[in-house]
Amino acid sequence: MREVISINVGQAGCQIGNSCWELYSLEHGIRPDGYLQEGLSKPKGGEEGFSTFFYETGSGKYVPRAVYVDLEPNVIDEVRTGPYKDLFHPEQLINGKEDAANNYARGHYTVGRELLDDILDRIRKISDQCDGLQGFLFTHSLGGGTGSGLGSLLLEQLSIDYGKKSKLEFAVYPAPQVSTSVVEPYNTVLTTHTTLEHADCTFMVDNEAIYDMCKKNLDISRPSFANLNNLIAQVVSSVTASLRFDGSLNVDLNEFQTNLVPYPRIHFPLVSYSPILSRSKAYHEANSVSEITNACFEPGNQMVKCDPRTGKYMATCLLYRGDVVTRDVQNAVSQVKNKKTVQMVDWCPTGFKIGICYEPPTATPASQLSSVKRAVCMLSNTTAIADAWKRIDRKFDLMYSKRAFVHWYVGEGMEEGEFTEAREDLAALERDYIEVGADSYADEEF
Amino acid sequence: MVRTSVVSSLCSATKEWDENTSYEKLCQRIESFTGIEPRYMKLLFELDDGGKLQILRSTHPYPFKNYPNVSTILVEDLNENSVVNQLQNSKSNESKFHLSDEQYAKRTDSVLQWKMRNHYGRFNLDSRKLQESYERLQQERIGKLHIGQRCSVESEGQPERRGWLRFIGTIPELNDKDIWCGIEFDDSVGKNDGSFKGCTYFGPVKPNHGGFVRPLAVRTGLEFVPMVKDDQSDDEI
Repeated sequence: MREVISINVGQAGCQIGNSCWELYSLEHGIRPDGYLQEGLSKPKGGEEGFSTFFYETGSGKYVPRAVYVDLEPNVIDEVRTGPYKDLFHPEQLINGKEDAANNYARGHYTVGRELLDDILDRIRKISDQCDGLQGFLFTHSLGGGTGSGLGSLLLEQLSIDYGKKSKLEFAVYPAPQVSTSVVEPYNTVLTTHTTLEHADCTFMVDNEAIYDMCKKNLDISRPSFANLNNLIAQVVSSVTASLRFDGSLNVDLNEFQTNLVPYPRIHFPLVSYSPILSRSKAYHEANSVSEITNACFEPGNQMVKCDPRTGKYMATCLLYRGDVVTRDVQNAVSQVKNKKTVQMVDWCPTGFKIGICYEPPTATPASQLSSVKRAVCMLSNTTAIADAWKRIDRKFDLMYSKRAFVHWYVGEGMEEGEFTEAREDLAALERDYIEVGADSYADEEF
Repeated sequence: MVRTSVVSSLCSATKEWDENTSYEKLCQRIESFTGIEPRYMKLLFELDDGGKLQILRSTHPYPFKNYPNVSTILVEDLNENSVVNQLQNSKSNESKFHLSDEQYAKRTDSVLQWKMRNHYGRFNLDSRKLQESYERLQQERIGKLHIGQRCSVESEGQPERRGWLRFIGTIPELNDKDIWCGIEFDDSVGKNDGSFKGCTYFGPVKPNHGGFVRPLAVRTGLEFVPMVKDDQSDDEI
């Protein structure tokens, strides 16, 4: 068994968790109450795959290997009273009374720390039920207080308690144009610094990019968080599909790392997904393997706004789902490799990895996404993603030069030196990406 | 629960409120993400029937009890010198954090150190020699080029293109060492208008008539007159 424990932290993390577990349940034939759908004798996906994410209680009920964590009760109360309330064991849902007030220091040092032991106990209980724990899958935001502060505290602790078990993150990156809080840049820089050496692979999603996809591709005029999260869940599901379904070409957590992350700090692959089609449009598209593969190179299909044409690739994973034949995939891959806009780093070994899961994607009833026969999720370690760090670092500098709101953090017992230490680490990360892009001959014209 | 958007000069967020939230509690929570101090806060409620009104502590101690139908809370900062207003008016390129080459080189966990340890890229002796002799050739070619002259561009795997040599120099957005040639092409066979990442190096010329190539791809001379297009030359024969 290769079990994976999901840890959803903070409002965004928990809400994305909801969308993911709804989708996983549908994909494996599990009802919202945890029992099998009628007509099924066993869950869909094969025993090995299915049991990486769910465990069975004695009575034929299935429970997610997951914890929900938030500092304030509202979001988790919605889980407790929502349609999936019976899916979870009450102890899997952990909340405090007082929120983090968008403050990393409250999540990391004061309010969050009080909850730490409870959370670690719960994770220990879940991990005791695993035969061969593979690792952890985090969902949290970088800009809020709980997701950034408590999220990074948990990642640190898991490194201590579970040694080298893989830790993958889905992290909501602050949208480039609209801030939901003034201190997002601080929280993002602080949490990225803290987790840089603990997370093995971080997939970032930027709400603005997702928002634009909902508007342009799904024809939703005013996308809600539920719309955004459904789309994010679809992407998370694609990345985890190869773990959850027995199939011919599988990729496990370790393989992700070894293929995508040539050097530990450079662990932020850009995620693209295709097709993203509304139900009305789906009828008019053929969605051949080659079409959906090419679409992954269009900026409109990226989860983070950046321009990969100006960057260099260290590694690429293409994860296909549904009705695909190997020959079509091989053709599509050779097309990709010959693209002029895809420049690989040429001074070190680079990777190209294919995953195929024969189970097609599922669209949840509430999502605007159409059911399609096949889809692909591309994970590419490109230097272009450094644009995201540059953007947030500049915003951090602007605020920190005025020491704006620093007292909120110091007031929670954080030392001011942590700001400069974190900022220096991020500056070094920017330099790391420049170093990755250097020493290649390829850039001969632009 | 009342769900509203909250909009200030620096942020926009969706929040949920208990109907019993007091004016003080409301201001306190709004401060935590807008950064505006409660004593300088001006709150405007936009109602879902289109109405709009200012909320005051004296008249609305429990604002959501009076107006459960509020859809947007607009927050203004009345303190002209507040940090929020200063941030609103400053430009992002002021006071950038700088990590010097030495500081970066000192860090043990970095891509630079990794490359050095593994003899990757320029730390590989063979590839460095190759790179150096290649850059020497680039330098030699620069000596033979003249800005403002007609030129020919021949890059690997592409047909010859012609135009005017408009620029020779480094492009700091890219790096500080490589010399590039800016070309104004006769046809739209380039990639830009003479600018790169917002900085104009020559022109601006017509879109896709500009491009930057390495010196070795360029030769200048009066003989490089505009090329006659293939289909036209066919006609003449």
